[in-house]
Amino acid sequence: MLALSGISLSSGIALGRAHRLQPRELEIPRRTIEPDEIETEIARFHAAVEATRRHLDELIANLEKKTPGAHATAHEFLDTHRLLLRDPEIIDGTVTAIRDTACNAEWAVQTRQTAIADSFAAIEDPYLRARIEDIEHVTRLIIEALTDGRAPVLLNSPRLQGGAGDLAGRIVVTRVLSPPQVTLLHQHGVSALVLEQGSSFAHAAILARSLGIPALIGVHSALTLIKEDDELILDGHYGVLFVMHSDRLRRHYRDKQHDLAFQVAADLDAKEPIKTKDGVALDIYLNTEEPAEIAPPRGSGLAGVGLMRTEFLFLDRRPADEESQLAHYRAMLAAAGGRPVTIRTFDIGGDKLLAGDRPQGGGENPALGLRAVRLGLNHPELLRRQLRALLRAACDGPLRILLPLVTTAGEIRQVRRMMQQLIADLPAAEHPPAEHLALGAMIETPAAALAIHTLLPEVDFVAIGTNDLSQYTLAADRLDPAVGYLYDPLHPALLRLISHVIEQAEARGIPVSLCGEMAAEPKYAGVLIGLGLRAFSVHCGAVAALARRLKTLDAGRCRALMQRALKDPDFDPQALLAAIDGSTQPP
Amino acid sequence: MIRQNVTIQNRLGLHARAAGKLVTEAARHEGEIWLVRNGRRVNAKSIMGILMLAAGKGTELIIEADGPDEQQACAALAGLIADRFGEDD
Repeated sequence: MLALSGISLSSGIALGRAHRLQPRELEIPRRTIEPDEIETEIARFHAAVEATRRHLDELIANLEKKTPGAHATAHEFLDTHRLLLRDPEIIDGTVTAIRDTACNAEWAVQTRQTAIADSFAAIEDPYLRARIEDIEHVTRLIIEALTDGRAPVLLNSPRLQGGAGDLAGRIVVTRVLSPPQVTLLHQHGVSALVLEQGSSFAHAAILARSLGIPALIGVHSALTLIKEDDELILDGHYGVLFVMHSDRLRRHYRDKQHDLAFQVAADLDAKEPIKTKDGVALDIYLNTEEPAEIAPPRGSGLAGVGLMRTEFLFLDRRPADEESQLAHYRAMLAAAGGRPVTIRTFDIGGDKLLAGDRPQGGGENPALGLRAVRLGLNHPELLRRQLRALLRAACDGPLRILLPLVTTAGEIRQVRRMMQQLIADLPAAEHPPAEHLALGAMIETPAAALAIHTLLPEVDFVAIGTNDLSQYTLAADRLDPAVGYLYDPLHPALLRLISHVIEQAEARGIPVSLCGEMAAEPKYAGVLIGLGLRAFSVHCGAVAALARRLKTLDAGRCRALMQRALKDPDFDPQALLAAIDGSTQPP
Repeated sequence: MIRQNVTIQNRLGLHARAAGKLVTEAARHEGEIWLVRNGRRVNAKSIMGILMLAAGKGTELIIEADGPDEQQACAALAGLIADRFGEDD
């Protein structure tokens, strides 16, 4: 088996056979043309541009037919391409080059393109600099149209000759894609995209996201390592692509996909709360951005939404405005039907913001830099807009606002003041009822965990985020294969931090939940129960297995085992897990 | 030929969407139209040229228009910029 990593653009899962789109290598010859051929050459160039434009128009019309009114993003990107096709800098510039240097049109387009690329390379703004990709896509189409003497072929795939259905369900593996190509692949029903190159600024990347196609970018050597028809699994949650995997892994992902798509909480009965063997009541919350996952009947056994991330509202080229945020939050509250919904304010770094908003400077270590709540307090207008939308949404149901990466009590106080001011400014009809509103902190820095006693007086609840807490505590990046071995959720330092947070919060009567990957892993459930955890927040694919596991555990026994383990100088994680396993009783 | 000073008002500046609106408007006019930033002059009918200005919020530009409809062209472009390209912030 082979596992490749990349940058994930969405959290979906796809299983399917690989279809390789080998980039077409084009030889661009330079020919000198006779003076009396120049006008013919220019006419040939215009005809190629015209054919390309018609082709794009057709694509846009098809998109409209297939999904009317939808996909504003797709339209916009394709429009940029159309405008480039009549851009005087490109079109007139090429005509001038044909005239002045008496060369063939292909060569003239290519030299024009190279000159433009040089000017773009000097642009500081990474988003604008990445627009050279759009120009390259367009000039490439023109050159192909010139070479072939007909409309350019957007997808160079033998499968497409056999009819449109032949790409359905395939995972397309290629070097790079343009927005028109992504649109066309979407129309052919491909299930996912794997690109060797691509930045998150690429329009194609943004488009794949907005069309809901799982995609991994930056998968090095994908075309070398993956053969046609290889069975692939793309896990957008972790940014991993499995090649030539085992049947067991395939079953696991089929189940996971099945859970995602249909029955989330097979084992959860709304009337029967989850209890351990010795009768301790537990809650499972959902990590989700998808209202359908919490809505009954699928999500009816769940206690509520424990973590709704909002980064997706901020990663597009411009952050969602207040009204569109409000619509998303309301949809989630409606689906939860009175159960609490925890929404985390944006957890992005300064590098994700766009030109006008991007803070100056920026350290070399983004994980330790201006991100999450720090960025929000540094860019209060962005945070205020989100808080306003959240406060207005809270009229509809109980909403818990969760602040990511809190380090000091002052940060929470600042946000609370901001909220109070915003409420005062809202029209009376939009004042959220006080009982609907809670403010909490994500505990994911060692500082926040160790100084939890200073944060608790400021919050209504806390949520432990073990993914970042592990990374910051162990000073190891879990995605870095060289130090990944250090990333162990059972490191005693981490267990002590979690234990400390739960103990302190419990003493003050502040609800505490845990929403990292650790919560979703059934084998750690006994450890967490033993540390005193009573509320788990996991993605929907993990609910059923976790619920099954929780019902087999004896909380008292886990507690005793963990109390001993925390003090044990010879602590052995594997022995601990075995001891917990030994204490379980089949349901 | 006429000239008018303008300041980019919308939050994202002349990104692809705004640049698209600007060239579409410019293309409706017959005369020649340029945008000038710090002495750098680009064709307002070229989306590429406009992107290359990398004009963020607060950037001061000069619109130059030359032709039979230079007054209307200048007013239309200045209006679009003052209106923040119809963006809501």
